[in-house]
Amino acid sequence: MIRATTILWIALVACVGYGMFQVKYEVQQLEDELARVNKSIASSKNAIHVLNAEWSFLTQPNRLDQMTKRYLTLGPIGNPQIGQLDGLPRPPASPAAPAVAANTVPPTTKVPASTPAPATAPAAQPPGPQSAGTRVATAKMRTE
Amino acid sequence: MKAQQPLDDNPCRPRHFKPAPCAPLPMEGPAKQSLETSHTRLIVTAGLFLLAFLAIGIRLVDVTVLKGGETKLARTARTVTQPQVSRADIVDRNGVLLATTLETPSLFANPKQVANPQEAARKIVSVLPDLSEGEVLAKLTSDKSFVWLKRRLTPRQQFDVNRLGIPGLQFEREERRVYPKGNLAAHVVGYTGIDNKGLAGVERGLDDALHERRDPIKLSIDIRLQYILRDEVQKQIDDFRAKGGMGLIADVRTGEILSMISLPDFDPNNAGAASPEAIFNRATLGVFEMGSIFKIFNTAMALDTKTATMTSGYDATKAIPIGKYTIHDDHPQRRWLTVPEIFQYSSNIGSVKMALDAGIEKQRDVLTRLGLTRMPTLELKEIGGPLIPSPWRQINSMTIAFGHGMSVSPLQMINATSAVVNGGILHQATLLKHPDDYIPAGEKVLSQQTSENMRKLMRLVVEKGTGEFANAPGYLIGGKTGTAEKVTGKSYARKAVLASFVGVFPMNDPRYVVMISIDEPHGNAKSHGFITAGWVAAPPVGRVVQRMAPLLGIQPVDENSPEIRRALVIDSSGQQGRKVAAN
Repeated sequence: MIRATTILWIALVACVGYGMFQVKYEVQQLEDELARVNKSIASSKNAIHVLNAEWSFLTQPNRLDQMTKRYLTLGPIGNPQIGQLDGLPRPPASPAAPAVAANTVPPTTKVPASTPAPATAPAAQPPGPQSAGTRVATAKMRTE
Repeated sequence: MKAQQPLDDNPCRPRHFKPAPCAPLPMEGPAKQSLETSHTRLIVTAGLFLLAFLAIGIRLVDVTVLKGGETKLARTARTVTQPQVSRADIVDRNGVLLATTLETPSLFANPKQVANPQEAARKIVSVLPDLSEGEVLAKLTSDKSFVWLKRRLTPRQQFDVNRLGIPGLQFEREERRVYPKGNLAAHVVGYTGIDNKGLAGVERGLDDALHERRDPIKLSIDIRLQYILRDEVQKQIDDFRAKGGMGLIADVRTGEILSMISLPDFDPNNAGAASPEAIFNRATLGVFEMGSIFKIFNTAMALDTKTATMTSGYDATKAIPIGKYTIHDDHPQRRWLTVPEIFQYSSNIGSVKMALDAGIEKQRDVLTRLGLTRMPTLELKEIGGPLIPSPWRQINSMTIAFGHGMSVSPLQMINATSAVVNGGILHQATLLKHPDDYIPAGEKVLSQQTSENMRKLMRLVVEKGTGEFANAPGYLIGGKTGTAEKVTGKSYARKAVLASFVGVFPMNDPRYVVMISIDEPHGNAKSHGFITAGWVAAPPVGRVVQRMAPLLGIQPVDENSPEIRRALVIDSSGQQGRKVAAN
C-alpha cells in the first residue's frame, strides 16, 4: 500500500515538475516575443512618425503644383466644369427607342436627336467603316 | 503451530518468511528523551514546510485565479508602445502635419578610442561632405574624451557613418522640431528655439499646451488655402515690385481664420537666418491706416444709427477744406450722390458728410462695437493694438470716415467685416479649429437690416464700382477697395500706398472673407501705371476666390437669376439722391 501511494506521488511530482518547467519555458518564450513585438511596434511607430513628416514634406502644395505642371495635363477646375445634378440630361424613357428609330431613319441623324448623352457615343467611336446597325447598337449599349 | 497462527493470517505471505521473534525495545532514560526531541523537531519542521507551501498556494491562487500580477504586466506592455514626445504636433484643419518633433541622431567621437585619426577623418568627410577634413582631424586628435562631430544627421547619414565601422564614433539622440511645410505657414505656426521653447506664432502662443498634451493641436487654417493665397499675393508683389504683402481668409460664420499670409516670409526650419522684416507678421502685428475699406464701417455706422438711409444723398460737388488740407475724391463725380453711390465710387467727401451727420459719439460707439478700438485677441503673441485718436475730435472723425487717422490690424479688419456681412454678429477670431458644424455664439453688434444693405453695397462695388477686377463669375463676390497713403515722417506720401481689398463671397449668403494688402506697389504697364487697390489688390482676391471655392464646396450660381438679382441688386442711380436733396 505504502509503495503504491509513493509511486503515485513520485509520478505526480514528476508530472507537476515537468509541467511547471514547460509552463515556465513557454512564459519565457512569450515574454521574449512580447519584448520583440513591443520593440518592433516602437520602431514601427517611430518610422510612421518620420514617414508622416516626410509625407507632409513631399506633399508641399508648391511642389505638387510644379509636378502637376510638369507631368500632368490637368489644370484648376474652371467655372463651366462645375454643374448641378439637375443640369444633366435625362436618360431616354425606353432603351429600345433608338433601335426602333434605326429601322426607319439613318442613325447618324437620329441618334444625336434623341438625347445629348448618347449623342457623344458615336463621336467617340474610332473612325472607320461602320454599318449603321453597329453604330446604333453601341449607342444603345451605352444608354443601357 | 498455535503460536504462529496470528502471523499466518495473510495468505499471500511467502511460506519461507519468518519474522524475527522480537518484542519492542523497552523505552526508558536518555533513549526515550532523544526520540521525543526528534519527534518535536519533526513536527516543527513539518509545520514550517506546511506554512511555506500554504504561502505558495495562496500566491498561486492569487496569481492564477485572482490575477493579482496582471495589471503590472499590462502596464509595462503599454508603456513600451507609446512613442515618447516632449512636444505635441501641430496640424491644419484637415489633419495635415505642420510641425512635429523628430528624434535625430547626432554624431560624437571619443578621440582616445579612435585608432587612426587621419584615416577616420578622411572616411568621415567622404560620407559627410559638408564637414572639413582638417577640422575633423583637429577634433579627433584633441586630448578630450568627447567631441561633437555633427549635430542632427539624417537617417541616411547615420547609416553611412555606421557602415564606416570606425571605433570611437557614437550617436546621441536629440529632439528636433521640424516644419515640413516650410514657409507656407511660417507666421501662423512660428518656430521654437534650440531648447524646444516656442519663440513665435502658435508655438509661442500655445507653448504650455504643446508641452502638456500628446494629441496634435488642430489649427483652423487650411494649408491649401495658404498656398493659394501666398501664390497670388506673391504674384502681385512681383508684378508691382512691392515691398511686401499680406493676406487673410476667415469664415464669417465662426470667426475661424482659414489662412494667414505675410510676405516676405521665412523658413521656420532655419528661423535664425531670417531677417526681422521677414519674421514680422503684417496680418496681426502690423497696424495700418486702412484707407477707403474703412468706409464699410462708416456706411454701416450711418445705416445702423439711422442717420442715413439707402436713399439718402449728400452733396459731393466740392472738396472739403480742413486746416491746410483739403478732402477730395479720387473718382470725382462732382454732383449729389446717394449713399450707395458714395460707397460705389468711394467718395471721401460723401463719407465725411455721413460721419459728420452721425457725430463723434455714434462713430466711436459703432467702431467700438465692431472691436476696432480695443486690442484683439488671438492664439498668437504677435498682436498689434489699434492706434486711435485721443482726444477724438471732429477732424479725427472726418478722416476716420475714409480710413485715415486711425490704424488697425488686418486681423481686426476682417473680423469686423465678417460682423458687418454675417447678420451683425461679431465672433471671436481664432486660429483653432471649431468642431464641425459648431457655430459659436457671437455678440450682436449691428442689425440684420444693416447687414443686408451692406451686402448689397459691397456687391455693387464689385459689379460696377472700384472693385470690378475682383469679380469671379458665379461666386457673387462683394467687397471694398482701399488705397491708403502711407505716413512718411509728418506728411502723407502720395507715391507710397497700402493697396487693400477686402472681399466677401458668396454675397447672397456670405461664407468667407478674403483680404489682401500690397505694401508700396509700383505702377506697371499692365496697370497703366496705377497703384490703386482696384488695380493691385482686387484682382488677386478674385483669383483666390476662383481657386478656393471649388475646394470648399461653394457652388457657382447664375448671377442673373431673378432671386439673386432681387436679393443683391440695388438702384444706385443719382435720381433719388437729387430728389432728396431737393426736398
